[in-house]
Amino acid sequence: MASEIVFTRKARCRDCHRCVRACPVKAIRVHDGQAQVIAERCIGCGTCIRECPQHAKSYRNDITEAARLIAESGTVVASVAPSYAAVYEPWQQKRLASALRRLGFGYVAETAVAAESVALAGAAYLAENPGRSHIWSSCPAATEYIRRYRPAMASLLSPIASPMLAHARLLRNRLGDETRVIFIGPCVAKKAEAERPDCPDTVDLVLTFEELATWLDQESILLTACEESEFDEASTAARLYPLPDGGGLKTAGILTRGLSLGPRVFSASGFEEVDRALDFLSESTEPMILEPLFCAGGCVDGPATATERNLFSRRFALEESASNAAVAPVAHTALGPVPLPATDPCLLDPGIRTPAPALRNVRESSINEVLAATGKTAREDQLDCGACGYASCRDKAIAVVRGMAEPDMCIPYMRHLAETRTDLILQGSPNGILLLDAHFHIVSMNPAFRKHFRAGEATVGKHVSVLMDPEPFERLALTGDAHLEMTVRHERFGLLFHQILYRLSEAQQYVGIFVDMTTSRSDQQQLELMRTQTIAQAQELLDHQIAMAQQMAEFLGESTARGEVLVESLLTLAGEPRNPGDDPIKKWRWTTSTSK
Amino acid sequence: MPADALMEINGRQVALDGERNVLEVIRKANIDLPTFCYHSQLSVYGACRLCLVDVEGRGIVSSCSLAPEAGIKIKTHTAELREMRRMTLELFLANHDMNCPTCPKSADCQLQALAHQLGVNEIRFKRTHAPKPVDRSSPWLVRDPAKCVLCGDCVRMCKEVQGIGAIDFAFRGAGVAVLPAFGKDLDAVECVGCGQCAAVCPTGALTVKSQTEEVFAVLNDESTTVAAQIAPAVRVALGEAYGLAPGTVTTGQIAAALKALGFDRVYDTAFAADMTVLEETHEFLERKTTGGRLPHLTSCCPAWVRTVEQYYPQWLPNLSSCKSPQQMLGSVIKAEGTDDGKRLVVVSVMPCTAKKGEAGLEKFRRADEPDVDFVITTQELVRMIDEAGIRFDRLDPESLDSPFGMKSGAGLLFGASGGVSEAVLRQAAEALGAARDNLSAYQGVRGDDAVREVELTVGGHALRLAVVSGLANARALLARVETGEAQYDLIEVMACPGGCVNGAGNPVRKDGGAVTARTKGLQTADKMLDLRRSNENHHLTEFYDRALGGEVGGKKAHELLHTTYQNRARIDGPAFSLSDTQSAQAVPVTVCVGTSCHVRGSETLLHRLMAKVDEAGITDAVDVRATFCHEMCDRGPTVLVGNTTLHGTTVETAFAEVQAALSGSPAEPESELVHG
Repeated sequence: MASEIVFTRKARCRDCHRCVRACPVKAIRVHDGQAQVIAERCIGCGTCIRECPQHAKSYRNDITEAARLIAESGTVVASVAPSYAAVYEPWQQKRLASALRRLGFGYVAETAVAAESVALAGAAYLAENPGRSHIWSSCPAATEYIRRYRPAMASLLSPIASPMLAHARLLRNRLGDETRVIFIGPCVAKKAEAERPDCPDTVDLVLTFEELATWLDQESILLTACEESEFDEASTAARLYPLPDGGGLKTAGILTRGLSLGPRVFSASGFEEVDRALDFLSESTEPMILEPLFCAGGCVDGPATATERNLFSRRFALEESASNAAVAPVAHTALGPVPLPATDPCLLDPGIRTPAPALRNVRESSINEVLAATGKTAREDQLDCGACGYASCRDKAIAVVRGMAEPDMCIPYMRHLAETRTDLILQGSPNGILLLDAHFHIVSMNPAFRKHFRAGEATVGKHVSVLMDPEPFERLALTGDAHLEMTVRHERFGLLFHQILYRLSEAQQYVGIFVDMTTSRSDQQQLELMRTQTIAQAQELLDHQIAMAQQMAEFLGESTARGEVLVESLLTLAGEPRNPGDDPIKKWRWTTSTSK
Repeated sequence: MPADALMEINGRQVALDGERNVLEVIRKANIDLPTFCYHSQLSVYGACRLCLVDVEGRGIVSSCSLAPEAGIKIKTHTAELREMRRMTLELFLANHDMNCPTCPKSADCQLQALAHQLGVNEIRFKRTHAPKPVDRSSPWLVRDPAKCVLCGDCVRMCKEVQGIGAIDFAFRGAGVAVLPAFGKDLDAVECVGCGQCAAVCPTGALTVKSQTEEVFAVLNDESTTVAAQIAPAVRVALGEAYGLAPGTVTTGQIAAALKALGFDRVYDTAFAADMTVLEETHEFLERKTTGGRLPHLTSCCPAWVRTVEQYYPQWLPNLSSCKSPQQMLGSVIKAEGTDDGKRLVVVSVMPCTAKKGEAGLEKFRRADEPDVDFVITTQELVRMIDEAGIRFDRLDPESLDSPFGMKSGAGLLFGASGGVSEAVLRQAAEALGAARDNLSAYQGVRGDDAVREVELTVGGHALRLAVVSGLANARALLARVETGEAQYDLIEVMACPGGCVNGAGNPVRKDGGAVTARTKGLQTADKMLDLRRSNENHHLTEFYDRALGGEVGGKKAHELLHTTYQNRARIDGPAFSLSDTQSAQAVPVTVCVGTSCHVRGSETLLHRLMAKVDEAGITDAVDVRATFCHEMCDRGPTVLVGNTTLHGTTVETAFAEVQAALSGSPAEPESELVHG
């Protein structure tokens, strides 16, 4: 497949592998937890689009391209799949042609016009080639599945064109080579069919009913506001074509072998049935005719039907309209009835029998390497649980080798890995970790806890009170607090613990984490003491220095005063009279002593 | 006016852009001043005094009659203006019958809306309202003078847009009233029934005459089978009553609603429009190729047909003899009959009031049964849907019934002006062997102009067409044709501006865009159909094969689908009977005593003829009458004996004809039959 038709929107993909599980051909690669559709492997069946719970799977939206075709081309024909009569309510069906013309289609046709010719050509081909098995299908997902994944059976495919292909060619024959044809149907795989390189002159574009609904919405075209009108060409002959249980065979007038001893004719719908039918056919020695349809409910249950109608309401609507149809149905076109040349090249598709290029084979040694890396060397370790999306551990290993899957998609392996890691953390922790059950019996202890509390294997299963006061755990159970934190001295063991207790509410278990504070606490006391002493010493030093300074000042003052008295006496002796009450030395002393 | 010219409204600058009056500028500035008498398509009247504004330096004036001028400053809601408007409204109401809850206009009466909008909750004036008789004489309209606010919208619509003038102001001062001439009833004057007066009437003074009661009655009558026909223009307008955009096609929901109301069958008038296309194209091409009378005038619009009958009797032979689609479908449905043994009743749903009068015409009755029993307008159908409690917006679309529910796009186009021409051109191209592929070649007849002229070549024939809507425009065009100033092969006339989509029976919209949107809706619907030409309608061709001998324009088609017209140039009462005869079998003898015949001695003729009848002792067997005019003045005296017209009559020829009529064989082989 050339361009990506089905793809994943990254933002929405959430690692659930549901698409991988559902994909019948395992075309989905998981890389960095993101599912990616690998175009080379995808058959476009659309199963993943339906399955993805996040709606992360999309298919290419071709509305813009369709609008461009209409704007740039002459006549653009809408070839509408017969399922429309099942998807739309009766009143909507009558207004569909009007709405399509409003979108700009110049000619509105039912693909069923060609389906009838295709069915008759198919019947003619089967009659002309008796004595061998045939697979006859207009289902692009089924034929692509056979060509890619059952290449040996591709040669059994009838070289008959699908109604879509035949219609495009018939339309161009009638309306001119420059006519553009857009097929509108319930099917995503048709988008891929339209791009088959081995199939010339097919439709120019494929839109789904979903895209049509979106487009009408964008253009504000309401079916309620359309006049009723008819298709430019219509057929009631092929109404059963999109139904399971051999719609094509019924249209061609062949289903059961009845009384004649012709080949067994059977149909299969849905991947599992198709797969088993193909197994059956490949093992059979008797010639048989098989019509496979890839969607379990037939085309009316295609992945892009865009309808809320119940599947059976859709199916019965078609059956009813078929039973109301004229007895000898003839397809009518605006130009008259369709001619039915049995060997019309329009009705042939020889390219369909070419098998698609085979997938690369994988070496046994590589498979074993992957198995070994995920701990699945022994056969009994290969659970084949399917959780990764693959049917067996071996299939998944092959996918890993092909780069389609990642080792960590294996849930049992990842669980084992996770458990191992948790264990290592517990074992290596310097803190004691204790696990109690709902009745406070010891479930497990890590080595650190065993060492602190001097507990051996025999303690496991005993009540926690054999080691400590169970009161904090009981408080945890009673109060319903999420966790408790406290520092407790366990006198019996001479140890101080900062302990964190919490409840595992789901498991009804209690966990205790014990951080040993014993050593770190004495260190702090020492520091506290030193600090107190240092401050005291510093204070003492300060006081001492102040006292010294005061004493020195006193000595200095006294000596100065005495010096002055001496100089006074010397001056008196020299004969100069003085007032005895005016003694500056006395005055200074008084001042200094009172100011102190 | 310079491009940057500004005027000030309530302190805000507003640019002038060629508006015709200040009211338009005010509305452009998103201020909705109330008016009764202003309509953009009519002349300015300035009577209602509601659009008053205060112009700085000039005082209070009506804005509708004030020319925009750069630099003027106006205020729209001063205390004084508010008081004046309220008082005006109170005076209106004091002179109004105010039976609002039971008034047919109640839902969209402008007077009622305005009283609410201006908060007029009491009337301080003495009630001067005096009861006036309601005129129910017309088949189209009900005229209730007690509800008239004298805005004159109807008068100007009738005169200016339709060129008829069936109603006008009469009397003076407090006694002024809007009346038909001489205070006659509406059915006794020249009203053509277009109903546009009712469409512009702001109150319930002119309303469409309702037939919903009659329709409900037949729907509830177990002994009838009721068939509906829906006109093209109904489907693009009815949704507006339920909040959908104009132009939204709701055919399927209308069918569902009609079925829910109890209609047994729902058909499409567009089927008959396709029939009209086949018949009229055949007729037109025959005239065109054999040198028949041209221009060919279309006959789908009954108001237009009536206009020709009244004003242009000389053009009657140019009028297509095709019945309107409504009447064609009526006669076809009645001719097909029903096999359930019940009485078949045909109800048409029309955008049109004139169709009500058309359906009641004597010539559209066969075996004493009207072809169309009742005509309801789109608005009446809305009311019926509402009365029946049907949630229209929640209906799933349903199909129309076969075979008369099938139509081509050409048939749908009839609902808008230009549509008949386009449909006929498509068909003419088919008949003349022109290339099939390019339908858009005939779209030249589309457009918004009221008068459109198109010249084109179809299959080697050069055709000149005129498409006109609005009767005043039609009359102006016909005047040019009469003087030889213009020449056409075909003239399509629709009485309502824009065609049936703007019919007075459709929901009335004040915004002008609705008509364009409805027209577009029909043109889009045409484009979306598989069948674009009328002859592609296979139910139609099957019907021709089954019932009309497979021949377009054939004898059977003429019986069922064609009609004749009546010269209505004189509108007067019945002839005066001068005999004493009581016998119903008496031979009617009508002697014209109009001016021209009088001058030629008709009065002496009358007296002598009566004496001669007396003398012969056949007084009881002859009903002698005097009448005024047969419009054959140049050949008088004119006498009608039974159905035979005599010209240049003498007592002898008249008496001979009377004797011949009594003996059962006509005396004058060259006598001429009168139309109708």
